[in-house]
Amino acid sequence: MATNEATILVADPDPAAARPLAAALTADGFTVVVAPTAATALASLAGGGVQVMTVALTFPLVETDALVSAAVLHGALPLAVGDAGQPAMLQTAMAIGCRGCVDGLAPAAAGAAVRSALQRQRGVARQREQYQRLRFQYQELRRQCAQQTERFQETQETFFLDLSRMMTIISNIMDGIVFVDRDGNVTLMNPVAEDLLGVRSFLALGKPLAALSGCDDLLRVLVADHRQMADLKEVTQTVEVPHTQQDLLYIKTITSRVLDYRGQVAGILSVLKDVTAEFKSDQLKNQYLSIVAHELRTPLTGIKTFSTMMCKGALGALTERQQRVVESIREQSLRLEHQIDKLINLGHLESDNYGQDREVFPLSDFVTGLIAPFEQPARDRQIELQFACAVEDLPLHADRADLRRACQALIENAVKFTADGGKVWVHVRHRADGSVEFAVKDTGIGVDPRYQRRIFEKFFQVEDPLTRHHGGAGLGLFVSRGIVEAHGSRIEVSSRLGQGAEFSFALPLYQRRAVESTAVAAVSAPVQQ
Amino acid sequence: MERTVLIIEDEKLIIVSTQMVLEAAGFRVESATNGEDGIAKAKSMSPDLVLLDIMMPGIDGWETLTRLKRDQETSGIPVIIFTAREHARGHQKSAEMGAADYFRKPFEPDELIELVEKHVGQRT
Repeated sequence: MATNEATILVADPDPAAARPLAAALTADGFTVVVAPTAATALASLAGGGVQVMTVALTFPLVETDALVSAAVLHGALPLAVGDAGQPAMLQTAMAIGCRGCVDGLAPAAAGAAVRSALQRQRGVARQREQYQRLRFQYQELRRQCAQQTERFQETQETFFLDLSRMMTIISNIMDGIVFVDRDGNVTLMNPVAEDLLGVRSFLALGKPLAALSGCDDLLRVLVADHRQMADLKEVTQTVEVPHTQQDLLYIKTITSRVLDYRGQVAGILSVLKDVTAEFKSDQLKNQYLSIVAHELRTPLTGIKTFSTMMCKGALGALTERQQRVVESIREQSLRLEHQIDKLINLGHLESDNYGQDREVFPLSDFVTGLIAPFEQPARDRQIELQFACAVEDLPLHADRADLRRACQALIENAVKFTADGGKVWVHVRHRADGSVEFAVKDTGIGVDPRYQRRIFEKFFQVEDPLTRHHGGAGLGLFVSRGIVEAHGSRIEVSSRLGQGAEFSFALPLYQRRAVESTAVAAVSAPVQQ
Repeated sequence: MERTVLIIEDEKLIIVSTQMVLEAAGFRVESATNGEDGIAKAKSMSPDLVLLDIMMPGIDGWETLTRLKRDQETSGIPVIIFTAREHARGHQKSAEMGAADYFRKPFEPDELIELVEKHVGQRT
């Protein structure tokens, strides 16, 4: 135990008082150093290793002060030596910075007093340490909290900036925007939507669309579209609606789901586009094309019929020369008819309403007579024209006349660009995914890879139009591509210059649902699923 | 028995050329240049088939077809719609309205004869 006991410096100018105290402490197991003067005491403290200093209050006050300060400085516990029985004594000791008292009149009890002072000090030190630790933790938390707050404020600022930017866009955009939350209540309606729907947004907010009244035609369409959102991702329609200031408006509605960050439906967004101008110009264009078609086809009917009848000798026998001329008139009229058809088809393709003439018909109907118009021209040039259909009779959902045009344009090109004595194959077959493929393959001049994209451009010709050998306006493939793309497919080309070419495209199998959903409104565009 | 075809068409040129084709195939051809006359002739001569143009002054082909199909005297005569204009769903529309077929101008004489042969005498 002795080795564990602390070293005690007994500072006392009176050797008679110091001696019994030192003796008692030594006997108690402490290592004791006696310092009769303040100077020796200070030297001992500075030397280190002193855990406790007892200081007699008989030193001059200045020295006592200096000793207590030095003890604290060097980590020694200062204790005053005095009459511990007097309450004032302890007060005095505390006043000069001592941490406790040792009773000078009862040296035998000094050891216990020192131990309890040391113990108290250790307790205080532990508490202080704990306090420091807590204080540190607290400061750390405060720092983190401040950091988080700052970050939150930054995020909030960005969020509000984004929000205000978005609201500015939404309120100034030319299209109407309506957002309905997952409970079906309107949460956003911009001024254009207010105008088109004939509803003020402050009256609409928080209510379901079906409860609003204004432009009821358009509201009904939106309600119907929103109902479809359970099954479909997006619905697009063009609706004809009466308007208070103008006679009739054509509104294109695009309704789609809005997902939250978990991928669940958070609401439904409808965009309302006023397409009246486009719609009217489309209508005009179609009317114009229709009139042009009529005006050109009527005289052509006469030319074609008369020349055909003359060729057949129905109007009397012709000389060989007359026969040749009349045949030429007939051929030219056929060519003219073909070009008129292409031009009119071009107009249809470029119209927004293209694709409304789709119907369901059997594949067998479609392939019947598909190659008939090319059999004679092919025979004339000793070209072998083969047709093979390896598909059972399936229903197709397409624009029958247009699909035929697209296929025939490919066959026509194949025959046109195949040298005399060559071969042209027309195949209808299943692809691996079950779709129906139409392919036209030839042994013709082939397509330079440089031009394999450009041949589908309007009026594009590989040859110089002034020196070329093959006729045509450069519309065939353009029209075919337009038709095939309007049916949701694309034409693929596989060819090498001088080694023939294969053009193909595939139509997905007909599914009943696709047709039903397009027939929702009187004027409706195909649904994208 | 001679089979009669009535052409209702405002273009003289079309009437003449169609008449030439059909007469060469052994039909008797009558014509009317507007819908009202056409309906009157259909009633009086009761042809075996009507070739009907769509775009005509006065009542158009659709209206003429409707009236022909509404009248008991003429409702059984097969009508082939005969047009130079592009009509959205023309094929479907003509079928829905009771026409026997839909044919586009300019036509191939042989195809016209084939079509007329197919429907003539199919009076219901």
